This record gives sequence, structure tokens and C-alpha cells, in this order.
Amino acid sequence: MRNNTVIVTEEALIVEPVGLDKLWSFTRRLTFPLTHVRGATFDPGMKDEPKGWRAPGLRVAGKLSGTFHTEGKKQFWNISGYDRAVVITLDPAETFNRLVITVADPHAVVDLINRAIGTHKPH
Amino acid sequence: MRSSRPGWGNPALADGAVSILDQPFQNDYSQSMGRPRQFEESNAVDAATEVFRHQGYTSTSIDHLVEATGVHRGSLYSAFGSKLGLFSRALAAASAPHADQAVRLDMTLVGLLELAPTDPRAREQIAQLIDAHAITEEQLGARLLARAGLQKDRN
Repeated sequence: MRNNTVIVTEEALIVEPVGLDKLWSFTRRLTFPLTHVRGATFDPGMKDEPKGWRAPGLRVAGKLSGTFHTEGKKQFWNISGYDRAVVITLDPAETFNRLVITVADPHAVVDLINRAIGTHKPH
Repeated sequence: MRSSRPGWGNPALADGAVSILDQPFQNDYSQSMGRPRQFEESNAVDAATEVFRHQGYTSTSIDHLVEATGVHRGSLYSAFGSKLGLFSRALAAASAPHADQAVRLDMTLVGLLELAPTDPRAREQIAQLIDAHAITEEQLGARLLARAGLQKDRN
């Protein structure tokens, strides 16, 4: 199941909740400059992580959608189940320190993001 | 000092007593943003290196790394950014002058097999490691066979 569309341009990472998830997450589209993206990881183990408190957003069973707060920071979650969960870490300059999203093909999305920041930023 | 804060309605205090209004409005934690980092990054990198060199990159999950390093998932993400970020740090540690040669060759082999073909940044980092330590094809091949128990390790 796909909850989010991920697009990488030359300069930016764009995450767009699909369909009604736009509504639950109160988010139409998130855009981050690639220089603020630290990396992406396929991580089904997020299932057992504390999610923190939610506001605003939706949380029912295995579905989380919206802004959650842990570690004194904000995280954006938009997932249904965990078997296709991808964690994207962001620069402290961003509102969110982390995005947790489900996508159709997690391995492809992780490679796409990591390759983009690898070629964008000389390391 | 108390008198310099008009409007607080600070009641008279017994001699020697200190009003909480005179204390700074901070505690030790408010000096630093967020919680203090409670682990040594180099220890976490060493533990992760052992997992990567024995299990490979793709087969290693964040659960494995959380367990091996004893570091919370959130702290791992904050410190290293991603599994790739942690692997990159492990490669850098394996490239350090004092690093064990077998570990260095194992990390090079894992990186060559699993990341270098598709990840340009990993490819460049491994190329630099190979250059810096003048790692030869023979050394890599011998290590590969030695790992498999097929030939004596000559390193």
C-alpha cells in the first residue's frame, strides 16, 4: 500500500501524502532542500518505537498520520503498517527532525534519496 | 536584588533564605538543546562495524544495530542520519591508520559488493580507502578466501 509519493528533484526532496492521507495528516505536500536531508533508511522496526504524542493528526491501529513529538523534536508520520516504512532524517534547521512514511517500494525510495544527496553534496 | 524586580510581590524572606525568584530560570539541561548524548559515538561505530563485516550491509537491520550498539534508535538516527551514514562512519574508522587490517579488508569487501556498484558516494569513499592503504587485488582475494575458511590469511 502506498501512502506517500516521493519525488527527488535536483534541489529538493518532495513528500506528498496520497489521497485522504492529505486530510488526516493535515499536509498536502512537504518540500525540503536536499542540503537539509541527512539520509534515508528502510526500517520496519519503527513498529516498536515510542511514537510520542500526536498533534495534529490521526492515530488508529497501525495507521499514523500527522505530527508526533518525541525527544523534544517533531516527527512527521504517514504510515499504514510497518513493512514498507522508510525513515528520513533531516537537518536540525527543519521543523521535523525525522519523517516516517510508507511508500510502494521502500528500497527504491531509500536508494533514490541517498543517491541524490550523495551526488548533490560532495562528501 | 529582590528590590530590582518590582511587581513580583516577593514576600519578605528570613535572613539567609533565597527566593526562587532570584534563581536563574534555567536548569542544567536547558543549557544544551535537547538531551545530552549519552553514548560514545566511536563505541557505537565499533559495534556496528562488527555487525556489518559479519552480516553485510543489506542484511543488517536497524534492529540489529540498536541491539549491537546498545544505543536507542532515535539516538542512532540523530547521530548518524541513516544506516548508510553509520556504514560510512564505520568505513572511515576502518580507514584510520591504527585500524585492524582484517577489519579494513572486510569492510572494503562488503562496501565493494553491496554499495559501490550503485552508490557514488560509497564508491568514492572505498576508492579512497583502497588508495590510502594501497590495498591490492591479491589482498582482497586472499581475505575473501580466508573468511570462507578456504585459504590461510596472509595479512
